[in-house]
Amino acid sequence: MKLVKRNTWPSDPFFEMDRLFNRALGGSDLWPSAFKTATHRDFPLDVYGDDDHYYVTAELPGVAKDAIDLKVENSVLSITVNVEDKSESGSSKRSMSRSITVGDDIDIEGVSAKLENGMLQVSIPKAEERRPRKIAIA
Amino acid sequence: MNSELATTQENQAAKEEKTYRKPQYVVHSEDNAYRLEVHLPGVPKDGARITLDGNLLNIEAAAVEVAQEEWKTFRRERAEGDFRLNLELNVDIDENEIKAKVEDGVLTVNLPLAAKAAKRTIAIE
Repeated sequence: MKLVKRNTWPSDPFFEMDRLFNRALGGSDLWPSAFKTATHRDFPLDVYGDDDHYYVTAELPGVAKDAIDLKVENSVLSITVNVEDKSESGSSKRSMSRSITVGDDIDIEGVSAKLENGMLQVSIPKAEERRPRKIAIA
Repeated sequence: MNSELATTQENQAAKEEKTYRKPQYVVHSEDNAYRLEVHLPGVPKDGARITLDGNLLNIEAAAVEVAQEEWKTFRRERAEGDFRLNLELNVDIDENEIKAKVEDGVLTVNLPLAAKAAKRTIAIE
């Protein structure tokens, strides 16, 4: 048996779930190194967060607003893009998709998104009970 | 000691040097022109700078930072740095007729061929 030492996982709350999710779907995310390079991904995205929100940013240059299908289902945020490549030899359609697990601690009703200069920004509010609370000492 | 000093200076120079990211681009060949599409996600309409020096086409654009200082980073796949693309043109371009625009994060540059490089139909006598 061959033992392979893994690096520590990135400090990413979505990481473990995504890894399982993508692996179940045949993705090759088993290794953290595969995670760091986004070359095999359809489009790169960043995930940030503050006390009240998660923010997902995706690079989608030249993509029209109505070509993007954004949905949250079973705690998974998925971004699907249908693009048409036009060239002299005709046009071809392809779709790109990314999914990230956002967990059940979010306020689905409050998710908002905007597309500006080819950059998609999704803002996901955390559920009220998950937000950090400052407790006053009596 | 001298070599040590030299390496320190080298390190400092490396630190000060800016890193750029090379954007993805596509070149379409059209009748008497080339159409260049450069992906510059996040770059506003007036955010790209194009210079033509001899046969060297240079495109630069400042990256737009969406994340705020106080945000925690959970995942970062997008490349960092400003955009820079250098392309060498191997055909004569009509410099005065170059047209460019940025829309939805895509820079489109229309490069018309100079008259002497343009396609010509030769009549057979």
